[in-house]
Amino acid sequence: MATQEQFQALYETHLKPKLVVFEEQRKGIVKKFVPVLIGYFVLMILLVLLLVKAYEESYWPIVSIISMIVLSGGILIYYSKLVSPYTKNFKTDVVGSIVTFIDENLAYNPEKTITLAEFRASQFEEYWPSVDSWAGEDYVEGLLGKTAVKFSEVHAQYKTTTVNSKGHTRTTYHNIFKGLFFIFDFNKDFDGFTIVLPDYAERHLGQFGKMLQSWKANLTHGELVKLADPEFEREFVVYSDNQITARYVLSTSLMRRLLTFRRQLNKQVYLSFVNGKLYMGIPVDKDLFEPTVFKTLLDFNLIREFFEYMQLGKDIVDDLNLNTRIWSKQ
Amino acid sequence: MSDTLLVLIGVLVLAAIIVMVLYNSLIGKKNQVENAFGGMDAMLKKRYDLIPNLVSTVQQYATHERELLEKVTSLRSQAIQGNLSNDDKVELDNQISGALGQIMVAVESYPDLKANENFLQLQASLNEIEEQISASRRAYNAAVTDYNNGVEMFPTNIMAGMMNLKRKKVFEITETERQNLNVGELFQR
Repeated sequence: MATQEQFQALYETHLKPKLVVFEEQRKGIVKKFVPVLIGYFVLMILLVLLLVKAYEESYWPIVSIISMIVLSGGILIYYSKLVSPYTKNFKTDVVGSIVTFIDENLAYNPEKTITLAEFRASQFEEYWPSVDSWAGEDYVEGLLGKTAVKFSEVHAQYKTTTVNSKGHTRTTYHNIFKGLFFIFDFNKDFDGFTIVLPDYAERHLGQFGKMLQSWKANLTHGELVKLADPEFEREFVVYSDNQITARYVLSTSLMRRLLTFRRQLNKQVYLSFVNGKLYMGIPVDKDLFEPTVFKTLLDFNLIREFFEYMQLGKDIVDDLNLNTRIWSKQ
Repeated sequence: MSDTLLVLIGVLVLAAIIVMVLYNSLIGKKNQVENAFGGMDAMLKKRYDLIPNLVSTVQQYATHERELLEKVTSLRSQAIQGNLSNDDKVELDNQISGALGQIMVAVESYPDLKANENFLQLQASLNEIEEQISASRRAYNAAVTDYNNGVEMFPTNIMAGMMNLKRKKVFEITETERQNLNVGELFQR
């Protein structure tokens, strides 16, 4: 397993020279963009002044507002055109090197993503709202030891539509899940589904929370699984369509390993075991693996963060012992 | 109709509903325990099916382990006889677990056997079944705990008393099974 020290060495010898080149490109972009940005602000101020001065005239206000919209759209397009080749090259070159460094059997594709169909197979939607909007990037796929793994950054949202008193409909999108989504080939064969979610109700409401969960389970295809490990029960709630399969998948040792993993990570984890696969979601607020534009790239902490997130796939395989193949699935 | 009569009918209906809910929840829990025991039984049967295969494969290589193999075979034929009480069944299965564990340890001294493709496959199936048996036991224990809570907790305990439902015993890990765990460590589970 690649350690922090090894990564530091890679950073110094291999990544830093690349970053220096990208840093030059970044400065070039800033140099080009800042004058345009200043021009944009000056024009915007003038247009606002025009709007205020001439708001009673017939067509000037409209001209002013349309110009503002066109200008804002224009600067956005200009910015993304300016930055996109830089981002793309950075990802292929730097993020790609990090992925290969973690394991040479892993392949990285900045534009691909875990698909909505693959996400749907996890059956998380049984307990979450159904997905209306799906996006993702930074896809990694490969074989870690005996375990096939793929993951990417994903962003799933659902929409709500409200109609106000004037009859206008308004569509709003809400987050379901944003972060890294993993799919592992699990080391045991099984049918059906078992879903492990962070437990809020039981932690705050105790026995009453458990009753609520049991009712909730009745609304879906699953039933609540009460496991014998009290610490695990406090952290997670488990639903499954089969009480025995749920315990076959969540062996006593896997429960311990999951607890340790979740505590070390210090983030929520969402797991779903479906037909021989393990699906795992780890929420992350920010957009990962993106190069900075207005801050320096020569920042070890920034690159180390990319490394740590990319390393998670391998950490999970090791921490959950997914390469142990002593059962009939090889 | 007088108000008192209405209130009385209301109270009676409510009482009937409460009794029904309590009764059904207890029966549900009791059936869950039986269901879980059935699930465990199915897993144990899977293991019985595997034993003849295992014995014949090991026999070819491990010539000095005849006694051990005969023991497993005889335990198996006792277990599949059918007319056994649940407690006897459990006891027999603990013995089978122990004997299988001993075979897996004995096998360590036969490198040819350990390299045999057929044996490796059997070993993997056996590991899988042991894991499934352990899962079904935990499921059974959970069902029993749920049932026992129903029998002892207020207000279902009153109903349980009238229905003459008694506490059931959960599985305890026996000495042989602890040994089994150590065997597991040999394979670096």
